[in-house]
Amino acid sequence: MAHSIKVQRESFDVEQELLNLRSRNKNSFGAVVSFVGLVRDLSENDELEYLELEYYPGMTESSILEIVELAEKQWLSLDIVIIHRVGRLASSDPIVLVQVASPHRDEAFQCCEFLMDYLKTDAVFWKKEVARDGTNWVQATDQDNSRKDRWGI
Amino acid sequence: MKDDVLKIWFFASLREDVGVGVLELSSEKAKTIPDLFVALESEFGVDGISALRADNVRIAVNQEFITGNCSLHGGDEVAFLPPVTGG
Repeated sequence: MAHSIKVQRESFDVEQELLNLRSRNKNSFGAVVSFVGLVRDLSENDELEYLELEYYPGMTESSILEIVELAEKQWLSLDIVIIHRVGRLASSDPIVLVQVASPHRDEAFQCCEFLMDYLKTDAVFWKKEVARDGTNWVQATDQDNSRKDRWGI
Repeated sequence: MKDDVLKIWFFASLREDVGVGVLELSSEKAKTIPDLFVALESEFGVDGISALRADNVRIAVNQEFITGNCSLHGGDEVAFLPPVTGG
């Protein structure tokens, strides 16, 4: 089972990542699910000026690897790509890419959702919303936690 | 890394609460986690470290989460992490 984990400031090219994934898995997989998360304006009052994403180099990558290894125990024969951005991001900017390749689509869809659910609650990142009327540190919501818990792991 | 120094990291909201991102402390001043809190209190004051004592703050030593106490040694990296969220 293969995986690739990157934490970076720059954006990502979904098509290029798909090409990379296909070229290293010739003939073995029948499905790839690509999920792209975008920065959403969640601030209640004023318009979001930007989102600042902070991480802990080393520990952040390890936290993502732990999530990926959990997924690899649940579903066999996967190739997983996770690219998570850090730094200053504007509304609608791409923030995360999750790609899952597997023999059949069921595993790819499920695993992709699993990875996103766990990234929300367990990946070591912090998000600060900056608006004209103030700042807010984003926290995982009760819904995020229950989405993770439903996997029963 | 200097072998008689602890490097203490404060992330995100906690960095804003204490006012610094990273601090170096002599390892003689903090041989355990409770010692570390005492040392940080003399650095930042009681109010300054109240945020660090919150139930949802986790502590990592050398990039591994710990629960409860643990002994600290020169060269160790200690980090205070508020609740995380990615995705």
